Amino acid sequence: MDTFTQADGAALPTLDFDEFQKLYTSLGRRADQKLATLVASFIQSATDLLAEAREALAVGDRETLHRAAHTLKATAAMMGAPALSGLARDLEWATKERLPPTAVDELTRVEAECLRVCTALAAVQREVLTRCDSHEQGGIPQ
Amino acid sequence: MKSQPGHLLVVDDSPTIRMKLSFELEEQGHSIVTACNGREALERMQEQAFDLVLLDILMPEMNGYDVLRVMNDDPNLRAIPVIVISAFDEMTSVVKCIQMGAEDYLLKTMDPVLLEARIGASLEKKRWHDQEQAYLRQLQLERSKSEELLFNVLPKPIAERLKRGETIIADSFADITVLFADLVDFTALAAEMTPTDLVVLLNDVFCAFDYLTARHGLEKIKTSGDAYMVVGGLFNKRADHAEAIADMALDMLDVMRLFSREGGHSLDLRIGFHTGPVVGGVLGANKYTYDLWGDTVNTASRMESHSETGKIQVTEAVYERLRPRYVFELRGCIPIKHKGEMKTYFLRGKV
Repeated sequence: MDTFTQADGAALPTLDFDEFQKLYTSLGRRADQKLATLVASFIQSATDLLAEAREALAVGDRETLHRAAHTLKATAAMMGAPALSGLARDLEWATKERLPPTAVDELTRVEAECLRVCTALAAVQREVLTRCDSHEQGGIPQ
Repeated sequence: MKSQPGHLLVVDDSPTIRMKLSFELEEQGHSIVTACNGREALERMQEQAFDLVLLDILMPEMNGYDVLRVMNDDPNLRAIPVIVISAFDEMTSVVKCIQMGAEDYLLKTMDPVLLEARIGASLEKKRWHDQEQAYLRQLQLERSKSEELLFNVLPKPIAERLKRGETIIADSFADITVLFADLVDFTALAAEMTPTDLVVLLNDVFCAFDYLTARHGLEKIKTSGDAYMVVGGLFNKRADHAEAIADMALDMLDVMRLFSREGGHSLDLRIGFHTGPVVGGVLGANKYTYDLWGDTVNTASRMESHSETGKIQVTEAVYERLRPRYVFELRGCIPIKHKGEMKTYFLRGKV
C-alpha cells in the first residue's frame, strides 16, 4: 500500500517536523553531532545525485536517471523532507520504463525543492552545531 | 527484552541512509559494516561472517536481487538472514525479494523501536539456526565415526548393505582362494615374552601382512590368535585370485625371514591355501564379523595345519591352476581329517 498518493508533491512541507523528530530521537547519544553529520552527508549526496541525474538526462540514460530519482526519494523521506521525496518519486515513476519529455521539467522541480531542503537543513545544522559548542542539550530547533 | 547484539552488513547506495542506519544500529549495540552496492556487499561477505544483512534493492553495479541470487547459490552465505530495506512504495519489489529468500523487510523510514524488534527477531532466529547446524554437524560427525568403525571391521559392500538395513547377509561365491597362515611355536615364544611385547610383535607382523594384502588386492577376513586369514576374488572380483594369493604367500615368508633377521626372534610361518566355492555372511545381532564357511575354508585350514614350518602347502586344485607359472614340489598323499587322503604340493616360488 502506498502511503502517498501520486499527487503534487510540492504541496507537502519542505521539512516534516514529526519525521525529523523521529530521526533525531533514533540517533540516541550525541544526537546533535550525528544529525549535523547526517545533514552534511545528505547535502553532499543530494548534490551528487542531482548532478548525476542532470548528466543522465543530457545523454538519454534513462536507467541512471531513474535510479538517482529513486535514491533521492528514499533519502529525502528518511531526512523528513516529504515534498522533495514526492517530487523525486514523480520523476522516478515517470522514468520507470521510458524517458518522457516532461522529465526535464520534473527534474527542474526536484532541483528547486532540493535547494529549499538543503537550505532548511543547513539552518538546522548550524543550530545544532552551535548547541554542541555550548554543550546544550535539547531537541531539534524548529 | 533487549536482543543480543550482532555483526551486521548494511548495503545501500545512499551514503546518508547507510550513515543513518549505522548510527541507529550502533546505538542498539550492534557492530556495523557498510557497502554501497551489491558487488561490494558480496566482497565484504567473503571477508567476514555476518549475522544479518540489511539490503537495499535498487543499486548501481549490482542490485539486491542479484545479491540474493548469489547468496542462495553459495552454501556459506545461504544461512545469513537478509532483511530488505525499502522505500515506502516498493512493495512489489519487497515481495519478490521475500520470494527469493529474504527474511523480512524494513522501511527506510521505520520507527527505531520497530527496527530494533525486527532485527532482534532475525538475529535470534539466526542464532537458533546456527545452533541447530552445530548440532547437526556433531551428529554427522558421530555418525561418520560409527560408520568408519563398521567399514573397518567389515568389507565395504557388506557394511553398506547393513547400513541400508539388511539383517541377514549370506552370499555364495563360486570361485575364490582362501589362505591361512599360522605362526609356528608362537605359544612357546609367548611364554618368554611380556604380554605387551608379545602384542607389539604380533601387531607388527599382522600390520606387515595387512600391507601385503592391500598391495596384492586381496581381502583380509580375520586374525585369530596367531593365525591370519586372507582371501582373493571375494568382493574384489578377479580371475587371477589364486596367483595373487600365491604371490602373497611367498611375500609373507620373505617378511617373516626379515622379521627373524632384524628382530632377533626366531619366527616361523606355516601357510596353506585352497581354491573353490564358499559361503560368506554376517552372523549375530551385535559384534558383527564377516566370515566364510564351506569345504573350501576347511580344506584351506587343513592345508595350513598339516603344512611344515616355512612352507606353503596347497591342494591339487591349486597346483593344476598355477602349474605353468609357479614352481611346486609334490609332497605326496597325506591324511586330512574328514577328507581322507589328499594329494598336496609345496609352493616353492615363481617360474
